[in-house]
This record gives sequence, C-alpha cells and structure tokens, in this order.
Amino acid sequence: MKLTDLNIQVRQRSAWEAIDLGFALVQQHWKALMPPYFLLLLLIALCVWLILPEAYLPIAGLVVWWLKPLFDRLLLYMLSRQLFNETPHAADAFSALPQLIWQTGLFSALTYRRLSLSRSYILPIWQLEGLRGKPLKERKAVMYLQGHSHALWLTMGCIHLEFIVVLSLYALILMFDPTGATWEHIKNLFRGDVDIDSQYWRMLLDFTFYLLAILVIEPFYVAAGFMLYINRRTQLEAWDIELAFRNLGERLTQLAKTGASTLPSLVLLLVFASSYFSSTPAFAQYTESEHEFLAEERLPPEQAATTIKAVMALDEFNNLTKVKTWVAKDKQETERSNHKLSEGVIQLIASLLKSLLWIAAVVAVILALVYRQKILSYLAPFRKQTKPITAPEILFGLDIRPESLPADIAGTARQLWQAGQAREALSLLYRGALVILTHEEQLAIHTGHTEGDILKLAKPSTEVERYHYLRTLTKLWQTIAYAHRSPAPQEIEPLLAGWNQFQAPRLAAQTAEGQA
Amino acid sequence: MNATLPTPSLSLDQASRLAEQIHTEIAKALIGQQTVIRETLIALLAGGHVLIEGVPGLGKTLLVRALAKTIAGQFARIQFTPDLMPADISGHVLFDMHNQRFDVRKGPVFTHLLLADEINRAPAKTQSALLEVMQEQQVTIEGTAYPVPLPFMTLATQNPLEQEGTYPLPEAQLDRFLLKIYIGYPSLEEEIAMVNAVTRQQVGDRFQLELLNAIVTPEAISAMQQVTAQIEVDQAVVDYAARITQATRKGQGLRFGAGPRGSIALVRAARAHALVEGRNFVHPDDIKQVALPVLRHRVSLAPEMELEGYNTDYVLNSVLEKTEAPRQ
Repeated sequence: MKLTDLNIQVRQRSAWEAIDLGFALVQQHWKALMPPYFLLLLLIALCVWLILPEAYLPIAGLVVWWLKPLFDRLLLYMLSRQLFNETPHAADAFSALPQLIWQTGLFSALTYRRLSLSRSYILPIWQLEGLRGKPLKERKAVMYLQGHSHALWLTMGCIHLEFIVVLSLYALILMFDPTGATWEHIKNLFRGDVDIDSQYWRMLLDFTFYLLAILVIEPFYVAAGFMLYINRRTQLEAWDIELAFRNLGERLTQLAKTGASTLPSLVLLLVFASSYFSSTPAFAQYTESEHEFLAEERLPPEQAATTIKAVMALDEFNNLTKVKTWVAKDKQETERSNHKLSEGVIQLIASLLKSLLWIAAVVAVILALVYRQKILSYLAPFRKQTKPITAPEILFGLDIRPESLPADIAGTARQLWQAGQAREALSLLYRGALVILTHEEQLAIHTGHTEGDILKLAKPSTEVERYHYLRTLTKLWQTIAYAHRSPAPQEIEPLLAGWNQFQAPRLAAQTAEGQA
Repeated sequence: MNATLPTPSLSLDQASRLAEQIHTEIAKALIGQQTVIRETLIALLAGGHVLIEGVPGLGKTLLVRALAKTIAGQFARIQFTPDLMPADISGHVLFDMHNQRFDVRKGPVFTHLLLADEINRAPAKTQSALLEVMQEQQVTIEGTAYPVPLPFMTLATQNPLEQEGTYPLPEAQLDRFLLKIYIGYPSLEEEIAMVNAVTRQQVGDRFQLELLNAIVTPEAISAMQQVTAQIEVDQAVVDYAARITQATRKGQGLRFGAGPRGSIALVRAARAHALVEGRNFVHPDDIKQVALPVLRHRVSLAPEMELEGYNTDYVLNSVLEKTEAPRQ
C-alpha cells in the first residue's frame, strides 16, 4: 500500500477533526463495511444465546461486550483497505478472520488489555504494523505523547452513545406499550429486580437492544480511533510533506519528459524573463529588502560573541521556571544494582517468566473449560432473583437447626419410642433427616414444600437405599402427623436401626470438621 | 372376562382396589391420558362434576362412554347448540290427548353419566338448566322435583380454540364443577398404541367399547363415594386448603380468587385422591395434587397477566409455592 493511494486528503488535523474524519469514513463506506460485521456479530450473539443456559441470559450482553476486540479487528481490516481504495468483500473479511484472530494480539486484547480505554487508537499498531515487544512499546510511547487523551474521550463518548441507543429503543417501545409493563421492566432493571423465569423474553429484548447499539456505534468507534492513529502518523512522519514532494517530483518528471520538445521555447522564455526581471523595480526592491535582514556591518568573531552574550543576558532569554517533581531517593542505588545483572541474564529471566505466564494462561483456560459448571455457578448472582440457599430453621413446625438435635438421634428416638412417645420419636428422626437434607446436602427446601415435595426434591441427589429410608420415614411421619396413628413396632424398628447408615454423610462431615 | 360385581358395602382397601381396576379398564380405551382418567375418577369418587377442556378429537366422548361401560351405568349425551332449550335438557310435560292427562317426559339428564358436549355453545339460560341437577341432583318439572339416578355426574366439554359465537360459562356455573381437566395430545408412543388399538381388525374408527368389562355397579360407586366421604382429614390439612384458597384472593396476577366452595372442593377432591392412593387419611400432598384442577376454573387471571401470556396454572403454582405447608 502506498501513501499516494490514500483516498483521504493527508494533512495535519486536530484530534477532533481526525475523529470527525473517521465518522465520515464510516458514512461513506457503510455499505461495504456493515455486511461482514453484522454477520459476525449475529453469529456470535446467536452462539452466546444458544450456549448459555436460560438463567444466565443477563450475562449474554456482557459476553458480547467482552468480544468487542474481535469485531474491532474485522472492522479495521475493512476500513484500512477502503482507505487505500480497495473494496474487500464480506468473503475476504471472513477469509482473513483466522489471521485476525491469531496474529493481531487478540488474546491479550481479550484478557489483560480488555479494559484499555484507548483500544481503537492502539489497534492499528497491533494489526496493521504487526509490531511486538520492544518496538511495539516504543511505538506506543510515541503515540501516547499526543492523541491518547482524545482516544480516551472517544471511548467514553462511544460508551455513552451505546446507552443512548439502548434507551432510545426503550423509549420507542414505551410509546407503543399501553400496559406500562415496559416502564416497570426498565425500573426493575435499574433496581436490579429482574426475574429471569417470568421475564425471559424481556431479557432477550434487552440483549437484542444492546446488540443493536454495538452494531451501530462500534464501526464509528473503530474508524475514529483509526483516523486518530493516521493523524498521529502524519504528524510524526510528515506524510503530508512526503506526499507534497512526491507530487512535486512527479510534476517535475512530467515536465522533464515534455522538456525536450519545448526546450527552444523555454530558452526564449528564460531570456525574456531575465531581461524583464532585471528591469523590474519590484524585483530590485525585493533584493534590497532581503539585505535588510543582514547587519550592515560584519563584526569580527570576538566582537560578535560579546554582542551575542549581551543579547542572551536580556530578561527575555532568562525567564526561569521552577518545577518540582518526585525523584526516588535510592535511584542511583537501583541503577547500580541493575548493572549487577548482565543483559543476557535479564533476557533469560524475562523469557522464562513470559513462558511461565503463557503456560499459566493455557492451564487457566483448560481449567476454566473443565470447571465451567462451577464457574457458572459462581456467576449465579447475575440471576437477579436467585437468592442464596439458606437452610430454614423451622419446617412443618419442626425445629431443624442442627444444634437442636441430640448427639445420638437414633438412641434418643429409641428411648422416646420405648417410653410410649411415638410421635416425638418419629418427629426427632424426621427432623434429623430434614437437617441432613437442608444443611449437609444443601437441598433448597421452602416453607411451601410439603413432605411429598421434599421427597421429590431429594430423589435425584440421594442414593437408592437412603431414598427408600427417607420415603418410609416420611410415610410413617405423615401417618402419625395427619392420621394420628402410631406405627407398629416392626415398622419403626428398621428406621431406628438404619438411621446411622442414613446419616453417614453427616457423620463424615462432622468427622472432617473435628479433624480440621 | 366378566368381573364379579361387588356388593355396596366396601372397605377402604376394596374401594381403592376397585378404583385402580376402573382406572386400568378405562386406560385400555383412552390411551395415554392417565392424568385425565385419574382426575375424572377423583371427581366421580368425590361426587363432583368435571369440566373438560381440550381440542376436538382427543377422546372426551370416549372417556365418558368408557367410564359408563366400566361402572355399568347409563350414559347420555347432549350436544349443546345455540338453539338448545332448557326443556331439551331437563324434560317437559306433555298433554296426552288419549288419556286426557299430562305426562312427564324426562330429559337426557336422567342418567348416571351426562356428557354435555361443547357446553359453551348454548346460551346462559340453557347452561343454567344444568345448575339444579348438578347441585341438587334433582330436576324440577312443573313444580315437581324428580331425583336423578345416583351416582350422577356431569362431564361438560369445552373447546378452547373456536371461541367465535360461544357463551362463556357464568362464574356461578363454573363453581359447580369440582374439577376442570385439561386434555392434551398424547405422546408419539401413546398415539401409535391408540392407532393400533382402534384399527386392529375392525371397520370404522371407533374404539370397540364391547372389549371393556363392567367392573362395578352404580350402587358400588355410591358405596365408594361413601368410603371416600369417611376418609379422615386432619384440621391442619383443612387449614392448609383454606389458606390456599384465601391466598388466591390476595395473590398477584388474579382478578379474583376462589370462593369458600373452593376450599370445600379441595378437601373433597383430596379425600378422593387419598382413596385412589389407598390411604385412609388425607395429607397436604393430596391437597397440592388436586389444587390445580380444583382451583383453575374458580379464579380469573388479571388482564395484564393474560397479555403477558401467562395462564392460571402458572399463577396458582406460584400461590402454592408461597403458601406455607401445614405445621404439625
């Protein structure tokens, strides 16, 4: 790509003018720019929607937001080519996608650099220049000297524009919704009081609105950042002057080519012009005025030096400003200690650390994949209505706090049974079972659950033998609680005998606690 | 195989076993509608009436015919139309010229099982003709009350799709139905079994009801109803049923909740449920199991919930979740 192919006028602009140029670039090329970008965004949004469990729909927007650096790369690919008068198709963009993913620093952009506020400004260095390591650092340092603050403001502005788009879409819906449900939903969003189970479609609408906002705003953001970058390069490398010289060179070359045929006339013209200028007062005046800039008297070097010193001693050249800055006290010491290690050792340690970091990153990704269910469960707070499972203290009028139970439940129940207190004996066993289910096995039992509901809840997570025990115990408890009939001794005996086996997990937990 | 028709005095075990046999027998004809059969049986044992809602062709008539055959009872069907008159249902008095006297011609309601097909197609006046017989189990013709044969059960059907030109049942009438049952499409396996059962070596597309056996007599059904009525209900369970009904009146998403008849119906249906389960006492799960069919036609969904696409079952389930289970 040559500078001469640029389809913008290369000149020094202010940063805001450069941002405006970026917006104009999108307006001019949106027809070619949008199809591949829209397709990519749609594909990713669909994948996110299909892969994420229903309950995690509120974080779908977050996932798409996190993947913005990927969309930026595709947009910059299209924009950079359009800037040089190429018109890539959507197919070209998708063909280049693997390269954009693997060779443009996407991994770092999606991880430790994801929260960078100058993303679109720095992206061309990664993607178009392909710089890495020290050159990249140096280039970034130079780029940051000017334009960085504008890039930050650009990012902040675009974030707000996205919100404006989303809120405008809501306002549109509000105008057509006579029920007020949308208004309630918006208020709930701000209150953080959204029930995913009952408002699934509304949450899906939120997601769609956010996608639309990204679809509209992101191209402008990338283009504006790109133009800021081009403007800075123009300043640094004098592209405008280079182009002016090239144009001049081309023009002179053209003249030289045509010069052979017009040489006689040119000679005549020069002769005529020289005679004309020699007799023109204006020219004479110009040469005189040129002399005015020079001193009439040429001083010897020693005297000139004295005069210069006198001039330099004037107040205008001695305006001193005092600037205070923090300097590390042990700076010299640190510098000295740095010299103790040779450059090779430092490089070795750096590469070792870099390799370790990469290995750690790969291991982290693998672990994240393996333990994705667990990680998703940590994201559970995003389910607004989901409340942490807190074991109730009283259920069916029974005190089911662990501390309310005796140490030997089966023994105490047997004593109660032998003392003719069948109801108390069964109540104790049932309470014990509820304590195990709620505290040890984290079963989410609510006050609205009946005994049958608890059996249904416990079935999937309880082994067959323990489930049979629980079912028998529930049946006997229901009989004594609601029919006021005591069970036969042969019915209660297996329950008393099998209690220890049923509470095995509880005992194991207590043992573990004791050891800890 | 002809089963021995049992005598009317029954124990709980006998009644429960008979209920199971009736269920099995009807399931031979109505394939894949276990819940519908079970809920119909509960209504029969509790001495109530059912409103069945479902699209045409799912076997509503077959269910009633099969039930009539199984209990060896009489069966009558009334197709409700906009021009159906109350006298067409209850009967009328006709002057006999020959004998110079008024003769009573009893209507189709004088039967054990009455199928009121597409009940919402007739105007409210005609629908109300069923009120007396459903509530009092008698019909008054020209000032004289005529009892209908017992057990008496009305099974009314509604089509949820074609609402054009229909007369929605008034709340007073809806309250008379013990249960409202939804009948849905069968699964693939059930439909295959149904096709095999109906098309095997026969002409036409109707299930051969002759293949079903009479399990009990109408008298035995009355005896089973007596057994059901004697099933114990703890005060805590009654309290639970009443609290659920009360909660429907306060619950969000409902225009109005169920009346006290809802609590009564809950306990009646829960008793029958306990009998079907073979238990001689009712526990809270029985109440919960029957709560949806008992209450869904006694409450009215708020318009905004209807607009949001929710149904009464959703709101009732949330009411059940929020109502505390009995304390013992």
